[in-house]
Amino acid sequence: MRTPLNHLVNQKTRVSKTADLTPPKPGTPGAPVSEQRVEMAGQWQLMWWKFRKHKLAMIGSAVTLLIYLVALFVEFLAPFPRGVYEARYTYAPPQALHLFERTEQGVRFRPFVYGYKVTIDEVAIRRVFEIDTSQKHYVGLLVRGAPYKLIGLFPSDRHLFGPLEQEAPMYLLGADRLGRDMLSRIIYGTRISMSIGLVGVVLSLFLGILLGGLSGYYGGAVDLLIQRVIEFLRGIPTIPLWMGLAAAIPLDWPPLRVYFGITLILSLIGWTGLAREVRSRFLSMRTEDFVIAARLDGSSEVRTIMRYMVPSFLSHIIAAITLAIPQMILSETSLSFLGIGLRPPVVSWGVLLNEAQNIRSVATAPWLLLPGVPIIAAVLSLNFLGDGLRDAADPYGR
Amino acid sequence: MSGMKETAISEKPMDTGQPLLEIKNLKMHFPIQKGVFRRITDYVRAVDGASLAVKRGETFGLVGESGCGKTTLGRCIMRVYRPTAGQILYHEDGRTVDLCALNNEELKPYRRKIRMIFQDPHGSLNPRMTVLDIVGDALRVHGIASGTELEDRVSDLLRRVGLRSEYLRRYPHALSGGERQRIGIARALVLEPALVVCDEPVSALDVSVQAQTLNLLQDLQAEFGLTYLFVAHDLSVVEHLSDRTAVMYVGKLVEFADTKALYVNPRHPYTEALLSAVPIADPRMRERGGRIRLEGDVADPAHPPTGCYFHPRCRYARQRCLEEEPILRDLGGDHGVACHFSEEIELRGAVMVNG
Amino acid sequence: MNTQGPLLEVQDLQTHFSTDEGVVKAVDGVDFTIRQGETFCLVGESGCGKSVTAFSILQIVQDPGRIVRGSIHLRQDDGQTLDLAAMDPKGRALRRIRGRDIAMIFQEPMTSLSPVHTVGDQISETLRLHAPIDKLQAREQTMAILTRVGIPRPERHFHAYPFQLSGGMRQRVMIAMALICRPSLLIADEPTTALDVTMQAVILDLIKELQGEMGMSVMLITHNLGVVAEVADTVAVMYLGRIVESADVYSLFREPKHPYTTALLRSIPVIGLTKQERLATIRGMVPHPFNRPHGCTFHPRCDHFMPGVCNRSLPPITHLEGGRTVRCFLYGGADTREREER
Repeated sequence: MRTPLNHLVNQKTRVSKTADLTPPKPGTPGAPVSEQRVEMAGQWQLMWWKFRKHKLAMIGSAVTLLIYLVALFVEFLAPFPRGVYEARYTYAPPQALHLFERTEQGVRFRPFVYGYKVTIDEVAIRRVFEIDTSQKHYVGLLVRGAPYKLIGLFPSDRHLFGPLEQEAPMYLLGADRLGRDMLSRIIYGTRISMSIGLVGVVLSLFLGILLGGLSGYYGGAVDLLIQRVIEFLRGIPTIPLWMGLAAAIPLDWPPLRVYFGITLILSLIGWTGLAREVRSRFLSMRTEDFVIAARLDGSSEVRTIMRYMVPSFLSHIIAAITLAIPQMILSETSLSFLGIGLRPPVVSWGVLLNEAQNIRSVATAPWLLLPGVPIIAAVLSLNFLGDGLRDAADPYGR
Repeated sequence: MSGMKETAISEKPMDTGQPLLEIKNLKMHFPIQKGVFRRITDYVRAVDGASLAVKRGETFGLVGESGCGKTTLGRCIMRVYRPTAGQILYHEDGRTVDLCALNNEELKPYRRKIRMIFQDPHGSLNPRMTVLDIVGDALRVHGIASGTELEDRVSDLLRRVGLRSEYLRRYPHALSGGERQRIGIARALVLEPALVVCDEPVSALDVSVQAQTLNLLQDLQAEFGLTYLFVAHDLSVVEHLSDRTAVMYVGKLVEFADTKALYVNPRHPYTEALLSAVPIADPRMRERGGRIRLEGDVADPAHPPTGCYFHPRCRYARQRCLEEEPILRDLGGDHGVACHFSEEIELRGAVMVNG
Repeated sequence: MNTQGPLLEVQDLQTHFSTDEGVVKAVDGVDFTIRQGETFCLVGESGCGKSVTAFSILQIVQDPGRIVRGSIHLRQDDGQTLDLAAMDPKGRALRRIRGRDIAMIFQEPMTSLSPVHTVGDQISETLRLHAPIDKLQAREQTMAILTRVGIPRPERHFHAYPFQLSGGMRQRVMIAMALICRPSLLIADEPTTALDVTMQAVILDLIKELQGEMGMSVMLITHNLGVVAEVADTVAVMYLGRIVESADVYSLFREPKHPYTTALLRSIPVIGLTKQERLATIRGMVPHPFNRPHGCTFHPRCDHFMPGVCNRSLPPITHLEGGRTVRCFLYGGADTREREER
C-alpha cells in the first residue's frame, strides 16, 4: 500500500517545488519575495538549500573541513616535529592537561602538565611512570619551538601550543616506543592520510570519467570491453591484489615515491565504481528529452555534452567522489596497517596503527590505538557529507 | 495570464499544391539485444512502412494507441533516430531533400525548419538553465543572435506565448506544467520553423490548462503560418485541431482522410473501434449502444501477426486478412485506407453531440 | 440505478499535510454520501484532493498527512454504522474493513501488485485473509473470479507473475483481487488513466457489469469528464480540497451550477461540437496550495467574481432542488451584513 499513492506523491512534489526549497519564512509562506528567489535560484543554490536541511551532512562537512585544515597546518598545530624522540620517555602514558593553577593568590588560568617520576621495574625490565605532582611544566600558546615552513613557504618557529621550556616532557596522548609524542604524530598523520584520499580520488576520477565516458559515449564494442574489464577488476579480491602490487614497490624507493605508488595502486581499483557511475549517467542522460531537444537545436555533440550533460551529472559525480574518499583512506590504512603500504619514517594513521599491532604494546600502551579515532571521525564525516551531497545532487526531484 | 487576444482565427493559409513533408515507406526497427555479448536477437518494428504527406499550412493529426509508433514516427522526422529504411522528403522552394540521407552536419539547416514540441513539460526543459538560455540556445547555436538581441527576441517570443518577460531569468523548476509547456512552444518557434512536430503537447496538462494551450497553438499557427504534425492519443483533441487525420496501428498507417470524413465516415475497422471507444461527455448519449469492444491486446511490434496486423482483433476479418497484408490505397477524395474490404463493410462514425 | 439507503457518509472531512513550511490542506471540509449500488464520481484536476479523499476513507494517507477532522460513516451488512475516521489506522478493525467491505483499485496496477508473487497467490491470499476457507476453496474461487473478469485461460494465468501480463490484463487482475471478497464499496482511483481508449472502454464496462452483479457501490475518481458522463450516477466536483458542486450526472451535465463546473465542461474538446471554434478556457492556473486564495478559492479565476463577496468569506453549501448542492454565492449564502457595510 505504499507505491500506489503516486498521485499523492506527485502532489507533494508539486508542493515541494517551492515549499521545500524556500527557506522558512515566518508568517507568510510563499510570500512574493521568497517566491521570486526560488524561481531565480540556480542549481547550486537549490542544492545548498536542500543540503542545509541534512543535519548530519552539515556536521559531517564541518568536521571534514576541520580535518583538512588540520592537515594543512600540521607543523603549526603539532607541538613537536614528527621525528623528535626521547629515550627517557618511551611508552610514557598520557598526561592530563590542567588549565587552572591553584596558588595562594587564588585560581588563575595557567595551563600546565605534571612531570613524570620514572622507576625501573626490575622484574619486567621496563619503565614505570608515575605522575609527579611536584614538577609542573607550564604550557603556553604560540610558543617558540622547532623551526618549520608553514605550507612549505613561510618560515616560522611558532607552534599553536607547547611547553614553555623546550626540554620539558609533554605527552598529552602519550608516547610511543621511541618516546615520540603521539599527539604530534597523529596530527602529522592527518596530512598523509587525508591527502592520499584526495590524490587517489583525483586519479581514479580521471580514469573513471575517461573510461566511463568512452564506454557510455561510444557504446558497442568499446563499452563491452570496458565493462568486462571493470567486472574483471572488481572480481579480484582486493587485499591479495594490493599485496601483490605493493610487494612490487622497491624497498629502496624514497618515501614520496612510495606514497604515489600506493595512491596509484589504490586508484587502479577505485576507478571502476566511478566509471560505472559516469557511464550510467551518460546513458540515461542521452535519452532525456532536454538533451534530445539540445541536439534538435542544432548543438554539436561536444557542445551538448559539455553544456547539457556534464552540468547535469556533475553534482552526482561530486557526491560519488566524496563517498569514494573514505574508501581510499580506509584502503591506505589497511595497507599500512598490514605493513605493505606506507612505511616509516612516513607518518600516516595507518602507519601509526601498525605500531599497535602486537598484543604487548596494546596491553601496556593502549594509547597507541588512538590514531583509530581520527580515522573513524574522518570516514564517518566524509560519509555523512557524501550522503548529503548525494541527496542534494538532484534538487529537482521529479 | 494569457496575453493572447480572444479573437477568432483568420483563415489558415492553405496551399493545396506540393506537400511540405512527404514520408514514404518509412521503417524504424530497433534491435533487441540479449546476453553478455549483446547479440541482436530480434527487432521491434516501431514504425513499419508508414507513408503520409503533410500539406503546407495544415494541421495533420496522427492518432493511435500507445506503442503504435506515432511518437517514433515523429522522432524519425526530427531525425532523433536514423530510420532503418524509407524516405522523409522535405519540400522547400521547389527543392526536395531526403532527410534520411543527411548526416548531422547536413541536417543543421533543416533543424531550423522543422521543430518539435515535447510531451513532457518537465523532462524536456533543462532544469539547470534559465528560460532565456533554454529558448535562446538555438539562436546561439545557429549564430542568429546573441547578447541583447537574443534577449530581445526571446522576450518578444515569450510575450507571444503568453509569458511576461520576467520569466527570462527564471528556472523551469518553479513553473507550472502549463507555463513550462509554453516555454517548450517558444523554444520550438524561436527559429521560425515551417513545420512543428507536436508530440502529445497537451496530454500531460490539466483539463483547464489543456484548453489554453490548444488555443495558443491555434493562434500561433495563424500568426506564423505554421504547419503542424500533431501526434496525440486523444481523439477529441485531434479532431478539434486537425485538418486531416491519420490513424496508426502497430507501426503502420491504417487510414488517413480529411478529419471530418475520418470521424464521420471511417473506412477502417480499427478507426471505427477507436471512435466508438471514446467516452462522450454527455450522459444522455450513454444508452447509444453498439459499442465495439476490441478483444485481446495490441499486437507485439516485435512479433506482429501475419497479413493485416489488426486481423486478430477485427470483427470483420476473413481468410484473406490472415494471409495478405493490405496496402494503403486511396479510395478517392484524399481518403486512404489499408483494408481489403473497405468497400464491402459498413462502418459507423463517431457519435456527434449536437448542442 | 437501484439506489437505496446511504452506504457511506462523509462529513466535514479534513486531511492536512503538515510540512516544515506549513500546512497543506489537501482535503478541507468535504461532505458527500454514497448510496448503496450507485456509482459516485469524484472529479477534479490534479492536486484538487480527490485521491487524498479516497485514501482518507481507508486511512491510508501517506505521511505527513493526517485526518484532522470529520467523520466517515460506513453502514455494514448488519445495519450497524462505523466511523472509519475514528478508528486506529493501524488497528485490526480497520484492516478487516479494507479489502472486505471497501476495496480499492489504482491507476497503475503494476505498483500495487506484488512483483514476486503469482497473480493467483495474491488473490487467494486476500480471500483467505478475510474468510475462513482452505486453500483449495480459495483457489476455486480465485479461478472463478479470474474467469469472470475476462482473463483467458485462468488456470494458466493463475501462475503468472504481474510483469508477464499486459496493462489491460493487470487491471483485470486488480479488479479481481478487489472484488474477491465482494466488498460493498469499490474505490477506483483513476482506474483507466494509464490505459488506451479502447482498453478503457472495456474496463469501465467490466466494472459496470460486476457492479450490477454484486450490487456494490463504486466510488470513481477521475479527471476525465467523458468517463464521468459514461458511468456516473452522482458526481461531485472538487477544487482545491473542497467539493464545489454535487448533483446527479444528468443535471450536472445539462445545467452545471458552479462557475468552475461550467468552465470545465466548456473547456474540453468534444467530437463534432467544437470544430474550428476556440475552446473556452479558465484563466490562470490552479493556485499553489500554500497560496490558497481567501474566501471562495476559485474567485481569482471566476467569470462571475463579485468583489467584496467572493474574496471575503467561504461560500456555504447551498442545497438546491433535486438534492443538488453548490458552494457559490451566486446561489445565496452571501453575508448580507458585510455587503451592507460596503
